[in-house]
Amino acid sequence: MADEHTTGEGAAGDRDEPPAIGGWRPPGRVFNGSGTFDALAALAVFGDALLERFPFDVYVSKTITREPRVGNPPPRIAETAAGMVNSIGLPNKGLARFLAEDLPRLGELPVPVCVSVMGHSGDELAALVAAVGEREEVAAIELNVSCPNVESGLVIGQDPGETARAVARARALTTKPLVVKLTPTASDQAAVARAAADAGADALSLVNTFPGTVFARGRPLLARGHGGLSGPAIKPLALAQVRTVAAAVRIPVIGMGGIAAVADAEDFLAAGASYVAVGTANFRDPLAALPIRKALRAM
Amino acid sequence: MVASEAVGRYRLLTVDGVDQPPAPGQFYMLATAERWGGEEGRPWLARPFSHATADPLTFLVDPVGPGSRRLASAAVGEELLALGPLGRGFALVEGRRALLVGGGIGVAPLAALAEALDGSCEALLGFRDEPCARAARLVTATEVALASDDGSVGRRGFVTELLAERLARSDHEDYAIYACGPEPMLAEVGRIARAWGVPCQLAYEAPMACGYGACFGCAVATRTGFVRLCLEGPVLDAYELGDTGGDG
Ligand SMILES: Cc1cc2nc3c(=O)[nH]c(=O)nc-3n(C[C@H](O)[C@H](O)[C@H](O)COP(=O)(O)OP(=O)(O)OC[C@H]3O[C@@H](n4cnc5c(N)ncnc54)[C@H](O)[C@@H]3O)c2cc1C
Ligand SMILES: Cc1cc2nc3c(=O)[nH]c(=O)nc-3n(C[C@H](O)[C@H](O)[C@H](O)COP(=O)(O)O)c2cc1C
Ligand code: FES
Repeated sequence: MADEHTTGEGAAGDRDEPPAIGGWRPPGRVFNGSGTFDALAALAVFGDALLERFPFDVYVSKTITREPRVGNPPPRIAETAAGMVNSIGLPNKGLARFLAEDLPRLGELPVPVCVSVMGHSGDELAALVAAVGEREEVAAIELNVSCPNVESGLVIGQDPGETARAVARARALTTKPLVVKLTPTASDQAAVARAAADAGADALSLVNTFPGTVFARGRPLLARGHGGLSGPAIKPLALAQVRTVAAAVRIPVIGMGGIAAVADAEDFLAAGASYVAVGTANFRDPLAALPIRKALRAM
Repeated sequence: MVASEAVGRYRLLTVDGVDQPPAPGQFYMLATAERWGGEEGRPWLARPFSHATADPLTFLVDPVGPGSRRLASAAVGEELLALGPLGRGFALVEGRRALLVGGGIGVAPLAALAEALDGSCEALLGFRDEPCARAARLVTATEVALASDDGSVGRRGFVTELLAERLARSDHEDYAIYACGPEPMLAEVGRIARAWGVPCQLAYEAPMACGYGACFGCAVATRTGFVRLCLEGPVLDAYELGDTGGDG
């Protein structure tokens, strides 16, 4: 049998205890992907039974923006081979109502809460991070950088300089652990990852969805023409990016992209992730992450 | 699944092992336990289906794509995965006689409604042709009028024409409308009902990835903005529908 600890791969995720994220030790390795599980809606539908079998170790909120957004016109989703494309458009009630209405209830979940935020300008991001960072219900903040900076026109997460500026600005405003969710379309993913780490990120999460579309009868099925591809269809792409990024930085990596079963999660850990997130698989089965959570806990 | 039977163009599946009783108009996310993902990797997500009867629990499936075809061809004894009952069904309007208006596969939730009403309702059902119209027998209403596109059963034409004539009678204030069918039909049913001031509930459809509020994929525009159809619907009040442009 080969010695796992000399091969590099498989060594990164030290299997006994995952590394802390900043000063924070998540209670387990399994997160949900932002935007793929609305805990409050799920509670309303499935009742308290969900709390007894909560599928994740850490709950990540849907991405919040400063102003409310209604989201994109329908159709917003279409299935494709082993996955789906979505152009949901980040519908959310905006920062003020999220803080007043949702966060207190999320704070009652049986697991720590990580709040995902997105700002289209430095000021917008600063407002979000400062306000969310003050709240005791919040264990960590995730910066979703897959959006253009309205000032420069550049997609923040595609550019190391933009990413560094956004992370540095957020870093100065909070002592909470800061996770940066990378954009899979950066031309040099390792450079963006290093820029985020150097600017003070405590962990990196990847991948977000890849640009994609589905046609039927000669036309795109989505109202917006195209969207983001997720699910098992992207797993090989995601694994490659996780492997690249984990090798480029010393901070922990939260790996995701098509994880639907224990074996998938193990592949991401072997590729260098310390934590994993389950996304689209939750849609098929609200408890899809539960066996993964159990298996990784027993590890 | 304990039985599978052809009903004209459609397939009626009988399942057991689901204990929570559904209300008419609610739905389940269905998949087969094995070999889901057959045709070029689809279906991958489960598919929403209204139940056609609650006791026994049955589903009427129109085989239009990989998911519905897979379910329609599932063998008796094969394990199905069913998440539900989900969503909000029909809210009966007190003191008004139920007028069920269905188009095509839209008869499924109306059959469940007729079952819940012990048949004390009237139904107007429209179908493309005779093989589709055989599903009309599932709607156990005291009075049923049919229309078909090709004239092979009932009146040739649209079910909405039957509805317009029905409401033109003097007793329209005694009725509440419960409808399900293709979107253009529902839009027309809503217009007719509003014109006569008759209460009207429409069982809508939208693509659904999850069925329980997780994906925000099933947005439908109402007067107050987009709602998630799987949570706020699938049954919506015809007077609450709207038009929302979306974010820029
Ligand atoms: C609340 C609710 C209740 C329902 N109840 C019933 C019911 O009782 N009985 C019933 O038969 N149906 C019902 N439906 C509809 C049913 O869910 C769909 O017919 C089913 O999901 C279709 O899945 P499919 O894989 O067979 O077809 P799909 O491949 O999903 O195709 C269905 C249609 O969508 C388009 N489409 C979507 N994705 C793609 C793609 N990737 N590639 C190509 N075309 C695509 C196609 O043009 C096609 O016309 C209900 C729907 C809802 C929302
Ligand atoms: C419907 C849908 C909505 C999503 N919304 C968000 C979001 O609000 N913020 C975010 O950072 N990622 C969002 N994502 C991306 C997921 O969190 C995840 O990164 C991606 O889907 C890949 O993982 P998966 O293949 O397991 O789904 C969304 C994905 C889907 C499918
Ligand atoms: S189907 Fe996922 S939110 Fe309604």
